[in-house]
Amino acid sequence: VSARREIKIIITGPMGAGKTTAIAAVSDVEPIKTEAVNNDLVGHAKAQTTVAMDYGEVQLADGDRLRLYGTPGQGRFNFMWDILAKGALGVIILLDLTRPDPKADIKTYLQDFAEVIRSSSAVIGVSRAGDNISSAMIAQVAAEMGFAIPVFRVDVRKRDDVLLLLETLFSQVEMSAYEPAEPIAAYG
Amino acid sequence: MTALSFAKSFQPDNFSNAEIAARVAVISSNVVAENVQIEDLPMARQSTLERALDLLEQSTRIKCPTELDGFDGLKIYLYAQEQKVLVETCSINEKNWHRLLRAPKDHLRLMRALCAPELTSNASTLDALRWQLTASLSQGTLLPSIAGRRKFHLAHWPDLGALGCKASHVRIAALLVARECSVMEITYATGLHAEEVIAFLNGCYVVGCLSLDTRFVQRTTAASTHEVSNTRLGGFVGMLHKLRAALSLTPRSSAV
Repeated sequence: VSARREIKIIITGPMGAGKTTAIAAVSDVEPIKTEAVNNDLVGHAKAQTTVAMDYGEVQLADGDRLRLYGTPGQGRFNFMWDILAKGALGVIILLDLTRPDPKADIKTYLQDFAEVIRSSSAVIGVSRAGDNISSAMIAQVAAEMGFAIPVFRVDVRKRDDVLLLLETLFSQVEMSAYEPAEPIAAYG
Repeated sequence: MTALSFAKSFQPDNFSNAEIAARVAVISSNVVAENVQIEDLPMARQSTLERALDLLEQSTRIKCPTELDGFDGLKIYLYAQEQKVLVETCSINEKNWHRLLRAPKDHLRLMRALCAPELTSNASTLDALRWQLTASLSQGTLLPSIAGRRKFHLAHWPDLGALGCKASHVRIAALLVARECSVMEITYATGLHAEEVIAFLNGCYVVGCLSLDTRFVQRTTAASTHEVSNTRLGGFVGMLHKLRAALSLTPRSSAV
């Protein structure tokens, strides 16, 4: 009997960026949430926020699974980030560019997830555009930190947009393994 | 000289593309004030795609809203100052404006938009229109500026979310960020037809993502070949087919 296989994806980003929504958009099961009353109304005005993790999954044939873990957005729970990131195939960083300092946000997440990003894959999804900063600027910040990471404008309420982020993770890992084949024969 | 008189005297073989573009630019700026059609020249040696891209470029030099005319069932309004585009579909049978770009008339024209609608949140960017034009009109031919190149790589990822992309584009982008490849190598690695690959390369060129540096430098990317555990990767590749099927993502060839 072959063992069931699993792929683990981390969805991270600041509070209110849409991590829970993104998981709900693609999960086959009702996402498991660990929400509590938000006592950081300066960080975001929403009533409740994730304090441990969100969890969703996509069930595959033969019992294999894609597991989706959403991290808590608040920095004070960042001890959870390392725990969740272990063994992950990729990281989706969701950003809200209307927050006070999106450049600082992206630096935080790239630093904290650097190990898993370097050993696997990452994509940045801009879930809310800002007036003073563009996706290209975020890509530039990542490039200055040594990461050539795609930055896409997405609507995490739309399943197709979340699938685009997932496909980007899959493709990065897949294409990193590609080696051009030697021609079998040549004419001329 | 008006656009009409220039058109009448126009002999394509007597002008280089650069000369044509320069003359049209001068004429365009003059004619805006006349409140008539800005530009209506016969097709020269340009492809329809080049022609459409040229007109888009011209629109960026005109302060008032303009209309790119020449696609059945579409009203395309260009707002140069805002770098935005509004597309209205007036076809009964087709509501997807991307598909309507595939059937241009013989003459594409840039018009002053006298009744341009107010910009709304539905507006897309000029880059998104450039991207869609290359996707629809490339017809398997690289743009002249990149036609002489043997290998391609990306300077950075295009914003495939904002541009409106397909899963296949993601795979090409992932490949070309990691290494430089010829069109044939890309088709082999991704399992896509050369026409789609060429349209992607044209799209990356017009939105400024294609590297113009002929020397490829290996960058630190996520998913570096050397750092991904082969064991993990082997398991992952084995699951990929099932994952894409479960998520209804476009299937790909098993070339990798």
